[in-house]
Amino acid sequence: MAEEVKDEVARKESGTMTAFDRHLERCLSMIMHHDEVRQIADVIKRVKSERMVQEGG
Amino acid sequence: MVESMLPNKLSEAQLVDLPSPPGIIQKLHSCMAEEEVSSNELARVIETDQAFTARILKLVNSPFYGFTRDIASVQEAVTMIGFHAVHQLLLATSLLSEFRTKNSAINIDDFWRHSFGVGVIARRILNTVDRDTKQAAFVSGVLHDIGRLVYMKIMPDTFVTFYTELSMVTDLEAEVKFFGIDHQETGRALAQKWNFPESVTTVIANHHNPDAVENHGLLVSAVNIADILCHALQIGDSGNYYVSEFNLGAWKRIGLIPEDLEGILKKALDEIDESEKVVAQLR
Repeated sequence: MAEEVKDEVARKESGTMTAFDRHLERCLSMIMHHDEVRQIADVIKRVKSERMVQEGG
Repeated sequence: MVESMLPNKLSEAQLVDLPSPPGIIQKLHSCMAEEEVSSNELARVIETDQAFTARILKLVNSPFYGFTRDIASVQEAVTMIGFHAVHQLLLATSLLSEFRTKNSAINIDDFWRHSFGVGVIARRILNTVDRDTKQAAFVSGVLHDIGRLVYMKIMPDTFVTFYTELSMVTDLEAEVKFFGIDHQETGRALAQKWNFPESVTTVIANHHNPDAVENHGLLVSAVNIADILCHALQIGDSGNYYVSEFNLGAWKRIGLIPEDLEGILKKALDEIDESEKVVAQLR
């Protein structure tokens, strides 16, 4: 394992992640799970638009 | 611009002086603290207060619980929905009565509609877990933003300024700059003063940071996701200008798959529509 990765793991385990680290990690997770996030967004859009039609009717 | 608008911040003394729970709630706490409390004893304590008795009977007989027959006594209500459910519902309803407040910055009906929606969706998300956890999900969902009520109660004018002038930046950091403390922390102070169960207090104090908690991670994650879903679906209005960032860690923790979500949301929306009256009874 590269030294930088070891450092990163140690930093995470010691709870010293900065706000930037946490934000970066969340952004990377979103990219890695892009398909799932897109599916969730599609469900929300579909439910919302069905509801708007229902309320309009 | 923000700096020049900073008011006097909330002081520790103001938080200590938050309203206390009524005597009946304190009696209930003592009763629940006993190791072998019976439904009979708990019912007797509740029945000493007519308003509480009426409130609990209205709630358990509402469409929200969907019992097929009328629940006629407090003891029966305790047996049907459980000690913890009755205790938490009474805590929540009395807190909401105490903080019945109007503020021109937020439509209070929309505020409660959002809170109730979060409670319903969180409960639906945790549908397969035990009864007490589901109940805690509902109550903590309903109460997750009570910290904002503290602002409205203690600093009403400042609250109006904050939400009307700075509505684009109503995130936690902006709250800290403006009030000295964010709404998760004011909520925690209130929940602790009212002796809410630790699980509910943890949700109130961490619903925007579900990755930060050591205990009750499932509950906090369910409310975090429910909050985001409610904002995205525009169910009510909590005062948030933006839909908060979607938290994948919380999503993974609740163990849902996108295919399940549609059914959960549709059922929750029907439940929210059918149960509008419950919102009125909770206040």
